[in-house]
Amino acid sequence: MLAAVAALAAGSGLACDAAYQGFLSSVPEPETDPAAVAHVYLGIDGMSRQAFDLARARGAFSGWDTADLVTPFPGTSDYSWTRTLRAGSLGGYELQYFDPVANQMHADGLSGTVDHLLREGIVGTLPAYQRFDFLGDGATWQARSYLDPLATLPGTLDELFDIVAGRARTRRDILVYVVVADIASHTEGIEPAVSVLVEIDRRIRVFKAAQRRRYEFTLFSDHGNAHLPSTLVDANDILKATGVTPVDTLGDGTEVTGGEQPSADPPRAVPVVHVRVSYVALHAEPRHVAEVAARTSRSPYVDLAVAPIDRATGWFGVWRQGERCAFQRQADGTIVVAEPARWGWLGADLGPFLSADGGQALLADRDALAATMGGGYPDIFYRVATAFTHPAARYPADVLLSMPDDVASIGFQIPGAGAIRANDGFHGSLSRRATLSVLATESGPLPPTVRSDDLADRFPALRGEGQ
Amino acid sequence: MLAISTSILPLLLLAGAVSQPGGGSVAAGVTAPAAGSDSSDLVPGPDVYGLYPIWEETGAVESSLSARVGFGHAQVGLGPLTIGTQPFLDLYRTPNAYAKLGLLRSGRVRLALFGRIHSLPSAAEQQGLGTVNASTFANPFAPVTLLASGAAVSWIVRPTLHAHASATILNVLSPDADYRSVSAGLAGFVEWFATPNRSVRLHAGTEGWPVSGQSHVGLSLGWQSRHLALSAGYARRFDPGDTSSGVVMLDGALKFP
Repeated sequence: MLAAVAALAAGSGLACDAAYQGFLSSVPEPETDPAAVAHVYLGIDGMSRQAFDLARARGAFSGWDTADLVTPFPGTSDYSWTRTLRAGSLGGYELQYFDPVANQMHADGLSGTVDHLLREGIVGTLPAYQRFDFLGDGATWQARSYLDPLATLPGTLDELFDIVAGRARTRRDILVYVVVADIASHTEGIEPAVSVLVEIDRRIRVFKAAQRRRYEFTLFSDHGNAHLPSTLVDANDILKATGVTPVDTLGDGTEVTGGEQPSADPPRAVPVVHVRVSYVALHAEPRHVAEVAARTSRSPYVDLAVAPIDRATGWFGVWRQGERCAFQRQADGTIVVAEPARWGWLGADLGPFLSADGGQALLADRDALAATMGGGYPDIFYRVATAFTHPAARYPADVLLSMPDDVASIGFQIPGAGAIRANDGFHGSLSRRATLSVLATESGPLPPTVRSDDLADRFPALRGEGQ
Repeated sequence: MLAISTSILPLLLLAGAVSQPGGGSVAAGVTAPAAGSDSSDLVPGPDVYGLYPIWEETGAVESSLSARVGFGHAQVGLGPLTIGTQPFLDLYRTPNAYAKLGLLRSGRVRLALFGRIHSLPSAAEQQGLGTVNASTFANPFAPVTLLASGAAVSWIVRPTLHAHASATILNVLSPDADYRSVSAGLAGFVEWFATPNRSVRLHAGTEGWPVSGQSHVGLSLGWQSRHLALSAGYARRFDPGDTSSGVVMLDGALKFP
């Protein structure tokens, strides 16, 4: 009954919103400077480098300048947009997070899943999404997008370009958002995602041809996508299979999932299982962190496990099949790679940066970026370190599991809802496919590679300035 | 402005309380049935306001001491004058009030003059509960006052076919010169009553000239009884530069008496 009342209230509120925005849109807005160029920043959720390149091969975005966009780790939408747009912080990397101070999980289960949908625009919108002038077309935009992404796109773009034209009458910078590419990638694979991008390119050209004002578009995104059908696994099963006890809280009096108390002191961890992604955040007591990382990295469903070794000095560990590699990220961004010979799997050329005895490699921040861009884990040092230090997550994990491209954490499953069909490609991990998106612009030359964290410096409008 | 709009509500409720049953008229929406009759005897009256925002109005006014209180409008008739407010806009920190003066009420024609004032806060576009219904209009830096005035006519072509048209001048006032404008528009709708209780309306208009000329077409459905009137519809608004977007049109009101 309570849920029905809440749904009715929310529905009524959204109906009010629709009527109110209809009222506002009926107010004519004067042109303040018809000759001025309007810059449109189009955030396309889940636009992978791979899909973009395929769209370009079909003639889309011809003449645009592009750069590899290195997105944050873990690559989840809420966290990545929050970080990219410098829009405050989340509790963790998603709406569901574990607060180690209160020793309590927040926004878990069904309520967290519902919250995830609501706060991406319907009610109580996260600050990052509030930054966009256009987010979605109506209260059912997400539901319609999941039911049929490609059928939803034309109507969404109608509304989007109408907002762009209206807002450009008085503003020089407009931020708009499209979710369909991400949903299409999850539910139907890369081909529909490419079609979405091709259609966006076509609509941009049609729009610009019909407008008297000159527009310059810039496309960016929040994460890539592996674009592979994925095995869905439960993080709790990974923990159990590797000898780590999944728990709901940490410390004395720990309540064990399943009601079983540990006999001695095996490593325990609290998994944060929210939506379907290719990473898992774990919280563990300090004495267990290294052991949890080492054990879980041996799972066939885990590619890498990463964790801080010493937060004070900036040392981090990357565990692969139980073996630890270590690096330090110093305050100025310099990367110190311990035992470079152990990092062969990285596919990075560390040779030019080796110390005389070969015991360390020392790379300036940009060198570390460049050295890793061609390998399987672009910008891994920066991405791993900042996953634990960036203020966009108030309670960063103690251990992060990065999954192979064909594996995803199944996330919370709605009781009785059956298997949700999305299993055609995910993001969140450290892998190349999940990491790389693209920055594409009509506004001028770009360097070959740009980090998402630097976008707001390059385009101040993304951090809410100049509007 | 908030004081104006909120001060009207007690008046509306009072009017509803003192009105006598059976005092309805054509202008009030649906004439009361005679004792023992059924709903098929109801005679639909012309609508007393439009559904498309800002630009649509009708020439009919409330009968004196008749009132309605609802989502889109709360108003009362005082002689030939109808005064009211749009309650749902108050929820968005947009206090507002309006008045409509009936000038002519012949058998088939109603003519009225109207004036409205809406006081929009700064960043009105961000006042929504959510952010999935964006508006083309945005005023992030300064509040805006809308002053709309004009004339409207309603023509009862047949008892089951009503036509309404209005001409509106909209004056937008603001401390920020970028938002100031004066524009004009014409809007109308035709309503066909399939039964005395159920109707369908076809809406059209062109407005915002010369500032930002828009046009719209829409369709809505109405249902009304002696004490309740409900309307819902959808319009498509066409903006300059070949862009367009949807407009949801909603209303629901209790009618008194």
